[in-house]
Amino acid sequence: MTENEFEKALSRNSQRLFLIALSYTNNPYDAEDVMQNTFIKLWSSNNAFDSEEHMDKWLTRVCINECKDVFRRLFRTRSVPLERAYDYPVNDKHFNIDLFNAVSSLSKRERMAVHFFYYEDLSIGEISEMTGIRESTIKSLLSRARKKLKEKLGDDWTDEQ
Amino acid sequence: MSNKDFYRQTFSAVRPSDEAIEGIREMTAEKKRGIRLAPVLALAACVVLVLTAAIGTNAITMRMKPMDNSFSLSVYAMDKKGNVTRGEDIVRDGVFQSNTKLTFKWESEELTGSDCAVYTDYDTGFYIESDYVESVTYSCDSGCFNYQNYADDSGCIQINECTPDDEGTPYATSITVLYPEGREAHEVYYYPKKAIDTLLKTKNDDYTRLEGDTIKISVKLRSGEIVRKSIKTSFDKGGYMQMEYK
Repeated sequence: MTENEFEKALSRNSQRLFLIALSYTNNPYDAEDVMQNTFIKLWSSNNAFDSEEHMDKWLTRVCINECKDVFRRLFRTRSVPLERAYDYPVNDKHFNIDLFNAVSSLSKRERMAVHFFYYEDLSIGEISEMTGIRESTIKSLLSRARKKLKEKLGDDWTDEQ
Repeated sequence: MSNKDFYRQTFSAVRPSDEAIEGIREMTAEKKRGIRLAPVLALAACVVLVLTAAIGTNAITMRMKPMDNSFSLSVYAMDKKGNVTRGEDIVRDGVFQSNTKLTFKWESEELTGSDCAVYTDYDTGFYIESDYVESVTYSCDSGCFNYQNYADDSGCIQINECTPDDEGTPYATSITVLYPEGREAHEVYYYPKKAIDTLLKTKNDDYTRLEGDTIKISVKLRSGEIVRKSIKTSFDKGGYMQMEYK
């Protein structure tokens, strides 16, 4: 992989992978570690990718595996974010802190299902394939998560699926 | 606005820090430099390996020479800065040679910090080394165990009792480490789960009220003899975990 190709992959995927990792870890520092490790793996790999889409899917899978490793390393590091712990864009007019906090309060698997569905725009089948979790489980995770988000956000969260 | 648009709008504003992105560039640049430096580093690594092997052989010989049923139990903790507290006990004829009291440093400053994430970095482990041990069982009441298997042979670990948390993460409350011939090195990590859960929930900095634990270690020697040891844990005012052999 050339430096130019790597830079393109970095600019295309860094935020996306960070957010996937954040949905798993619920901790921005762990999420940054996961994102960094994922890109190091890309740089060290000798994979030949057919297309950008192929590379991005590969990166997503590596990122998910790295997230799982964070939990395997649970015994070595435990952390919990404090308020104002991380430089979240609280002054950005597009950033809704209530939604962000409501999503953060979901369980790990609910957060992950919600993020893949609402941000990555994946179907339930695609989420299942990507994460190795059964489709029926993804459906019930999404259903529980939607209910919780509705409770916390009221009318801001619509009843649509 | 649809839920998808609402979600995407909010999360599109959340970005990794510039430092994290720059860190990736630096790390990949280092890897490039690493290729050029590889021959020099390889030579250096050989020297270190030879020295380590020489020192290691002496240390093990000194430990194991006296008795054929002896083993060493090391208890250690490493804080986030890499500082290590370590205690070692030589067990001969089923008798521990010392009654050690160890104080393990907990990153208490980080726990009460207000401008960054709270870290309860913890790395407290046990390491039993011997040619004469068949298996070691670790159990506890309010903590849990994980392990590092240097032999990369996961068959050497039996999870006896496991309690999943709310999210299904398994916590082994009792594990047995098998020592087949030729496989000696296992590290078992102890994690004071209940105490840390309490701390994270309450943000209480009165560490002395955190739940202590009794870690029971049962060592089965190849001769059939079983040696048992209990280690009592508690927390002092500074948030440092105390481990006391009983």
